[in-house]
Amino acid sequence: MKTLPRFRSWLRTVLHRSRMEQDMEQELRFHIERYTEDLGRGGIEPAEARRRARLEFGGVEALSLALGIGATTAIFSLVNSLLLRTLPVVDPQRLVAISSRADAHFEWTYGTWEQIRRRAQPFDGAFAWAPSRFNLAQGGETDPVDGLFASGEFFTTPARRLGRSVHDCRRDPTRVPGR
Amino acid sequence: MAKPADLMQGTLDMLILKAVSMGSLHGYGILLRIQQISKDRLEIQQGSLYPALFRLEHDGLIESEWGESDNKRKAKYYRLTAAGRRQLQEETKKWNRMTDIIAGILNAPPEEA
Repeated sequence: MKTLPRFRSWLRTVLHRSRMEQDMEQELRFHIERYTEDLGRGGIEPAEARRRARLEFGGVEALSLALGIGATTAIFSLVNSLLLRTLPVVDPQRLVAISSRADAHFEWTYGTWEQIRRRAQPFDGAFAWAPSRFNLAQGGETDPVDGLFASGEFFTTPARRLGRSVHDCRRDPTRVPGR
Repeated sequence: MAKPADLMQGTLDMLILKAVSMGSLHGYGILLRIQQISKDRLEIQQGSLYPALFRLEHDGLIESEWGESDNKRKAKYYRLTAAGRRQLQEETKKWNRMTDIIAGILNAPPEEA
């Protein structure tokens, strides 16, 4: 029953991606502005009200959140095989995995990754990931899928043609969007 | 005043459908309406609202349209579709049946040893 609306929604996401991103960004901005005003009416200073309204969304930039919603809900669940399995890696022969062991499954600590990231100049860039299991269920029975936690550079470093995706600003909750 | 309760997992979708069944609303309005009906006894994470809206629209249970808000700003308004109305009836029935059963169990008198 839900196949047709889902397909339409998927088509809209793929064909009108940037339009959809703009819509989502505008929608979230509207929400944050209204909430800021309501907090202000409650006697909270404008700057503090704005900070609190943002905090409700994890303090991230509205656009970044919009991308997150769109990407996880539609892109990930529906075009997983189309996009992710055929990643347009620019120069696959130049990709290098860093590991302290031969099996390449040894995990580094976040501190070590920070060091590697800072010293990545000999390369075009560096990115990190960690495999994990996620539960997609909204309630009731669990719906486990295998997934990755990935650093912000995950999509831009190996595959520039993917363009804008999950932006690195999500790492920095203090960053305030430019107007 | 008592601290507002957190929403039980899986119930947000149902509350959103109910909120928009009473007339079209923008996202922030949905939040306010649910809070108002619950007399502020329920806390909804604002960050979880939009993924839920996206999902419900994705499933064809609600549809959206850009309109003008009370102070002349552009806002996205959501309303229930026919499929959403059916889903809401179904979910309400299921929920009522379930709470009856659970309450019956929890309120059962202790057995004599």
